[in-house]
Amino acid sequence: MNAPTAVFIVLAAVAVVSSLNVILRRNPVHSAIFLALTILCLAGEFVLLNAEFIAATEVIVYAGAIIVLFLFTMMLLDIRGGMRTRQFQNQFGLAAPIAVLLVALLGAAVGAINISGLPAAALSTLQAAQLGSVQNLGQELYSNFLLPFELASLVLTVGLIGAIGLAGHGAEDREEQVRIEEALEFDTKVRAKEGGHLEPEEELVPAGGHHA
Amino acid sequence: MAVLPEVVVTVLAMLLLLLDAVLPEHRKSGLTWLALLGFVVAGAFNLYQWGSPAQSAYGGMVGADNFTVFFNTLFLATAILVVLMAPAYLRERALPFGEFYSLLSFAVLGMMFTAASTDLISLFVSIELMVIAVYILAGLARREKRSNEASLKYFLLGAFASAILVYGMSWLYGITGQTNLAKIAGVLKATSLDNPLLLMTIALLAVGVGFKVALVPFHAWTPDAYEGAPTPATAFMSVGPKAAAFAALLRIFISAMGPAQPDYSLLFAILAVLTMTLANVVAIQQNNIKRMLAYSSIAHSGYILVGLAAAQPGAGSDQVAGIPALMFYLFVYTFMTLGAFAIVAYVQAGQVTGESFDDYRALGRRAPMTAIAMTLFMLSLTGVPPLAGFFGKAYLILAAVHSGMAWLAVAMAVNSAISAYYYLRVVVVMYMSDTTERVPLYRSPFIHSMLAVASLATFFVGVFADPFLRFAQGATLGF
Amino acid sequence: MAYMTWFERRVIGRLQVRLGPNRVGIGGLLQPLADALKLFFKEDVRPARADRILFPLAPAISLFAALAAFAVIPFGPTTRIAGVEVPGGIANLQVGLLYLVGISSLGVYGLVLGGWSSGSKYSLIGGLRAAAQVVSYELILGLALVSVALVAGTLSLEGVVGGQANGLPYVILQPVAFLLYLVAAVAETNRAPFDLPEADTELVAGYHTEYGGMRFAMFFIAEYVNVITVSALAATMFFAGWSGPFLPGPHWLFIKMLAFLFLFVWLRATLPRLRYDQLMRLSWSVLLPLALINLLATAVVVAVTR
Repeated sequence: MNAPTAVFIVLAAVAVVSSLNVILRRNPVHSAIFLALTILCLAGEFVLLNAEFIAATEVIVYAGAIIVLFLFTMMLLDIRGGMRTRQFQNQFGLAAPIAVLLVALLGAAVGAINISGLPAAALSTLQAAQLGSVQNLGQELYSNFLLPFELASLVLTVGLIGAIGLAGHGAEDREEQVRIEEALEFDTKVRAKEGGHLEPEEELVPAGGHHA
Repeated sequence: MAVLPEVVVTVLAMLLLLLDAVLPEHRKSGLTWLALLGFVVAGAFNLYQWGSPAQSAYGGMVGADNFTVFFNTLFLATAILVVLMAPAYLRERALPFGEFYSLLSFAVLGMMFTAASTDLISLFVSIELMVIAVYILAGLARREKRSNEASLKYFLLGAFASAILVYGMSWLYGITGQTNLAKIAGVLKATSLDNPLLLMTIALLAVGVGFKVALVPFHAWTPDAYEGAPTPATAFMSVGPKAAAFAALLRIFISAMGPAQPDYSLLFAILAVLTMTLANVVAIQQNNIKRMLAYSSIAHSGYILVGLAAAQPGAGSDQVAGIPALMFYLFVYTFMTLGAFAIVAYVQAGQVTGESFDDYRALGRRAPMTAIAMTLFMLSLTGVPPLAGFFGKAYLILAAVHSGMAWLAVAMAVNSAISAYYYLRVVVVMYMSDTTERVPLYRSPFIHSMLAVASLATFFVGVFADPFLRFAQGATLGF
Repeated sequence: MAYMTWFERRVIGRLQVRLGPNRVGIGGLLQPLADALKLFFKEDVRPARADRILFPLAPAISLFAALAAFAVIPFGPTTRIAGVEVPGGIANLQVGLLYLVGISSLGVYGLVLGGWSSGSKYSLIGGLRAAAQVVSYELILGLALVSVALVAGTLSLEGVVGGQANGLPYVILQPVAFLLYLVAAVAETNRAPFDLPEADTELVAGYHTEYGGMRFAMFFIAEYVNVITVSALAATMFFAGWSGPFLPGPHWLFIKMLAFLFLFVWLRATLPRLRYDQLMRLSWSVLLPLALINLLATAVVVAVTR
């Protein structure tokens, strides 16, 4: 085993352990930190695969921005209350056998892989060492992958519209919400009095609508 | 230029967004006309491409062939009908016009590229463009808790499904070393198919797309999302993304994985039976018309899936093949479902909720034309001859019989009979009950013309089914 | 590094017409050593409500990120000493610039976690401010650097210096980017007038309120290392780094760096702190559009002239 392989295995092991911790930790801040650690390990793997650009972007975007914003959000919330809730809900009895089955299936599938029998990936004529270089990546992105690249930018635009559109505009919105709730309550009462049958769901979930 | 309709829709979406920011509040209803114009122009460019030789663009990422033209026609028709039904509802509830139309355009764009994709990468990005826009559409009534809930549920489950879908795609890439659909098919033809890896891949992809088309047991989000979303958005969700997801199913399972058809045919047959049976049984118990239609749309996913289970790749334009039957049914389904939801929006527009069956009391007297249209849609959804829904179901049943799955055909016929109960209940309520309520119904030339188009389509596609069936058959020549 | 503190205190002293520390050693030169010793021997205090794992980890993350970022700054040209090739920096990566931005973006974890894990409200608010501020200004820092990288045509810091050694320093070609960088760099390092995360008049000491002894020292050192790194990067990206006439490379870099360090201290002594909403508005509605326009213009010019 040469040095890069050894480093690869170590990084992979750390990544697996820390990603397990992401879901097993009760404290969401700890989960976020393990997520960051996982991302760093993956970035390390990318470096070993000669994809330095992707490694750097991964660290900047995920570790540097997204997870920090996760933390930011968590700090605004009272996570200590959340830590008391049970991690495993009522579906556990149903979910566990399915999960075991899935793992078994995946294991069987992975075990069945005959690596040498698989066709080589459709790498272009580039050498593996140059594959991740910034120039080649840019060239590929703006030639063969131009369409998905542009579509991805539209996806981001839509996300932005959504963030602004769904965020609401403060007090004005809250007043409107109160009006809607009152109208709904009235509506529900009137209907109940008239003997109209109500679904149990309708009583639990406040039915939406519009102020008359 | 192969992607001209898509370019028109992109420009439209951006233009709507910009004008929304610039225009003063009272001029914003003009955006409706702009959206209509944009979709009509795109539709014209699209139909112009019918029959021209198949092209490939952007390094094999998308293709322009009859299949694309067929689905683009479907999507643009959906968009036009939704734009026609939306203004009354949006104005009544003070929902933003600009955001609604531009998100609609972005979703339509995603749908168009989904149908056009000939590569896993562009396919996935297009699907994401579509669904993210739709998540937001579902939550657009941000002051209503129910709408928030709809958006959040749809988003969480949808994002999870996307992850499974992309995982399945990565397996497919791992097996074949290709992302191009045609090349994947080439590799699969050359290798043995009783491969556990391939079965795993089929399972993951089926789960991923199954979520998007709301197959049982991946349907749990549907009733809540449909009920909470603003009704025009619900109408769009029940038709557009579903049709696009079926296009993606065809692209993945026929174009790319056609050689593995024996592996997945039974799986889809079972899913289809599960879906239609459960959805129909649960739909009977609904008292909220939007939830009823949500379960109805799940049941219809089951019917449509019969086409894929009965598909015989290579059979091409065979009269009773599964794929043309599937596409024809999608075409029919679009008009009757959009029509039904438009009436829901119409009845709702003047009221706080207006979603229960009671709100349809005596509609036959209060609004005779609307009640006739609703009757038409309900009968067509049930599958009563000579309406479009009947022929759609007939072709699917024929295809199932033809591919040796008679039990599937029987299941579908039985389910249609069950569904008659809840569809006809609406008709009964409209004509055979009375009400003291004097709720004014909203008047909007847009929604009336939309209802006229949808009911005429539901009627004439049934009576003159042949040209439309040939349209669907012509679109499958690529397979 | 340690002498940065002495430098700062003396300069601020001068700027405020007083002397600054001058008792320990000649001209106070031993003051940093005395400070360090004091901090070493302080009791290791851990608040009762602190997170057991993250509380000690936070300053370590801060210091690690600060030191690791410094590794890619080139000190001089590759030279031959006794037949052995000695590279002019600790590491020369092909994507050095991205590495630097990436690592320095990890530094914020130290602040956020430090603030959160202390279990104190002042710390928490400091950490929150730090997270929002650093993420916002990192965008501007990155965009400013990308404009320069576009002109240089490389992401390697060696390459950037090489590009300037034979032509104009990029401060002349990219004046807007330089100003943006300067503002963003001050904000990134949480220095006055952007020192809201540790605003001592409002938040006691911000995210490191609860820290003492060596742990506090680590935060303290990390801040100064960061200041030195951004100064060195400014010198490298905009003032041709180590290249210059007569003197050998490292000397030039040091001189240019020193000028920036003086600027930092000067700013702290002169400018009042911004209010939080001003800080955010400045970032998102003034600097960000400016950075984007600058980037666009640069891209067009580079594309046309190439």
